[in-house]
Amino acid sequence: MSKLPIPTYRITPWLFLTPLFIMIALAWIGPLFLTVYLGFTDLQLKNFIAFIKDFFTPQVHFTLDNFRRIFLAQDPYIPEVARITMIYVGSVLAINAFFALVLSIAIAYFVKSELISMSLRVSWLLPRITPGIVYALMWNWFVSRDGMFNLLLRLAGIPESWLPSNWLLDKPYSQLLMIIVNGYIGASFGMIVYTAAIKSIPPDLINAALVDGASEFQVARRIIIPLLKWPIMFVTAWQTLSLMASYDVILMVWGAAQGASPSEVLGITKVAGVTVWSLYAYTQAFSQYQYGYAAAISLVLVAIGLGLIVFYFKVFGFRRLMEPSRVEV
Amino acid sequence: MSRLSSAISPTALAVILFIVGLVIGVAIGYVVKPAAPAAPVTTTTVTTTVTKTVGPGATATVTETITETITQTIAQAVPTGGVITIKAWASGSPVDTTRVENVVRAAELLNNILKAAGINVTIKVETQFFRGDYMDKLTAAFAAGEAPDIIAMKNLPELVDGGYVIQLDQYIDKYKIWLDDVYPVLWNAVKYKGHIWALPQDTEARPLYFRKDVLRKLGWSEEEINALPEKIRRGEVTLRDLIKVAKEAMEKGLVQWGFYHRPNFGGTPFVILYYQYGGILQDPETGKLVLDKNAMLKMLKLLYEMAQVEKVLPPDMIGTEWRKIHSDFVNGRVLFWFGGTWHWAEWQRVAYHEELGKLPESYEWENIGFALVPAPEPGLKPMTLSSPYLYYVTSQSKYPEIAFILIMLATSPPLDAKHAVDSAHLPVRMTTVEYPYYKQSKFLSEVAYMLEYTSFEPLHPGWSTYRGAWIEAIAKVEKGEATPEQALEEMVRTLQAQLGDQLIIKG
Repeated sequence: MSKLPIPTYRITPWLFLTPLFIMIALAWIGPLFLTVYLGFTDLQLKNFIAFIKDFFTPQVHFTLDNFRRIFLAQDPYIPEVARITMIYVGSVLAINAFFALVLSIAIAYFVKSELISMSLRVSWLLPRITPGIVYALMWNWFVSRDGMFNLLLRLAGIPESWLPSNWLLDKPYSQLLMIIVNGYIGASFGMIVYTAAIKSIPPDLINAALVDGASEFQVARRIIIPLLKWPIMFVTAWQTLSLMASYDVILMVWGAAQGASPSEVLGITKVAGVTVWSLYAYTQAFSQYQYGYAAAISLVLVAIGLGLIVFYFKVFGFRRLMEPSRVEV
Repeated sequence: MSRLSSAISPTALAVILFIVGLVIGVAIGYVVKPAAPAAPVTTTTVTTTVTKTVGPGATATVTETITETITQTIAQAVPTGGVITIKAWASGSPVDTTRVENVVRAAELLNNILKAAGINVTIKVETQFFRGDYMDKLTAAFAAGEAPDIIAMKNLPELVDGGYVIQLDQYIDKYKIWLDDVYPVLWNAVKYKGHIWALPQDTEARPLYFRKDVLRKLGWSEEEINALPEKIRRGEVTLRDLIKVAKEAMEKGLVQWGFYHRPNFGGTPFVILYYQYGGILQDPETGKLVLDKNAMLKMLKLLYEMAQVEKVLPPDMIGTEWRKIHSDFVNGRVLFWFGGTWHWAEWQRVAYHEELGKLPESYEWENIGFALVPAPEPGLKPMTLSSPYLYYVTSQSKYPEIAFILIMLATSPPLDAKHAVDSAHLPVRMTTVEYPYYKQSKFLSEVAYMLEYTSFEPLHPGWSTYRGAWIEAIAKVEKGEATPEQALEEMVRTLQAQLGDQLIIKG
């Protein structure tokens, strides 16, 4: 072994990491550079074929027009998309990071029966393990004009005239629905992280507090939440970044589940007011075929994402986040 | 260190190295392989096949019969013989599958001819049928170098400008004896930038359907009901009159809604109304798109009135499921439906009726009538719109001429009749109307007059952008989120930003 010029222990980790690096290079760094490049071009349906034949075709021009359209309000829909995205990320984050916390404390601490706690956790996990399109179809049926939701509301005595004519298309109900549909899936991520953290709190700490006369609420507020500081920050950071880039559920509920073809999705989501930034990039690429412009739109997202990562690193102390759990110390 | 190195036995290290090597190898292979051959192969094949088949063939047709031309062309195009695969993609409503099936039938026909001529070539057709727009799948297939040979869609300017489809002038010249009976007006729909890029696959009219049973309950006599289409044709009954009828039917509880229109952008009633109010969409001289503010505002105002003032049209029409629309009209919950001729066939083929399921045609004749889209107001004209579906040969096809022969045969009168009757579209060949299979269709002969009142959508690459802004204005106006004036203002602003000098604003 020691005949090798470089000690094995130096090589072994790299050997193990090589497949990962290859994957990252192919699936992440490559597309990233491509997206940056495309963001500065006018690639669209018109010059797409020339582009796939020859990467450096003169038919694809280098241009700053895409960014002019975004930042100089030449695309009149951009401010609206930005507004919807902020509402979306803010509200769903509140559910995924903070409602999930309340939920986990309730499930993992207040509910003492493991059976009930387990079944509650499973019920929140259901939307995540349901195939996306099934989940989207179920929402479509649930809120359709003659669907179960309207039926329940009518049974509860709500007059017909109060009901919106279409939950999926009438603002602000459609936007509320966008938040709920995504929050219901997303809450389980935080819930799992928090529940695991709560379960790993040494019982001695809690028992000592209870012996000293603390109420259950005080235990939650003074012991559990402070000890969950790191998981909370982690979930918040993780969820902000993933929410900014997520549009799949919206696309399924307002697109595929409605039977809309790609070219119709943008129209429907515009009417419903649920065109979030990443979905707008998607529709620009795959229903308007403005590949260059779509790349530029998603680059804005990348820039904001990078900014947020730096922010979290500095403010939240992300480095310490990566260290072993504080709870066990 | 010693602990670490002793932990890894030489065998394990060899295995790891092997796996890593495998992954790297596969990755390199994946990156290198498609890049190298893909680009040159497709380009050279296209050019060589075209020059080979067109060069000598074009001059040789005069003295030969067309079948000989075909068999010789194919023998030249596939000198080695054997099975060649042609991929055909199309989209449409469930009754439109003949768009791909006719290509299969054409291939069967061609295979018989080849067999009779003793040529050892068999053509196999692989088909894909989509329910809606499939441009995204098409671009992906092009990127992968696996594009179909034949596609049926509209979108002519985008396909031409992007180089997805090839010019057909030379083939049309070569086989013109078989294309003599294409309706002359339809050639306009396939000409762009001075060339012909497609063969018309079908066309249609967009009538206003009405429920005869509801009109009967309103006290209309059988003669009055049967005279309605003619009165609409002569401009004696306008949309205003029908709004009143619709209101009456709703007040009496006979229907839930007076009118339904399609849930997304389409020719009817939006483009038709705009044309009726005097608007044009394309400047005949420059070919640029046109927005006539005056006509557009009148069109938006009418829809606003229908949805928000008279309340005969659901305000959330845009985005409603197709299934619900058909189901409501077929079950008599809606009086008027701005549909297309093909819906007549769709109702017979898809079970929309809650008791009867698929409608027997006799039920349709008993309860459903059709007319031109009436003039919106007295003094204006009734109208309809045709939007021919087109067959193209793609630029990635290895056998463009064979693909062309297939689409030529697929639109030949017997197969044209099959598609027209089965899907309730109008034929593209003049001789089709003489075919027994076509003649048996009472519906098609009764809507034929509508082609005299027809109009077309513009052929411009910016048209889909225009449609996008237009449908948004319509949705906002109908939902009452914006006044017609506000919606128009926003539409103009959006289109000016997106289309720039490709748009002329009038009025």
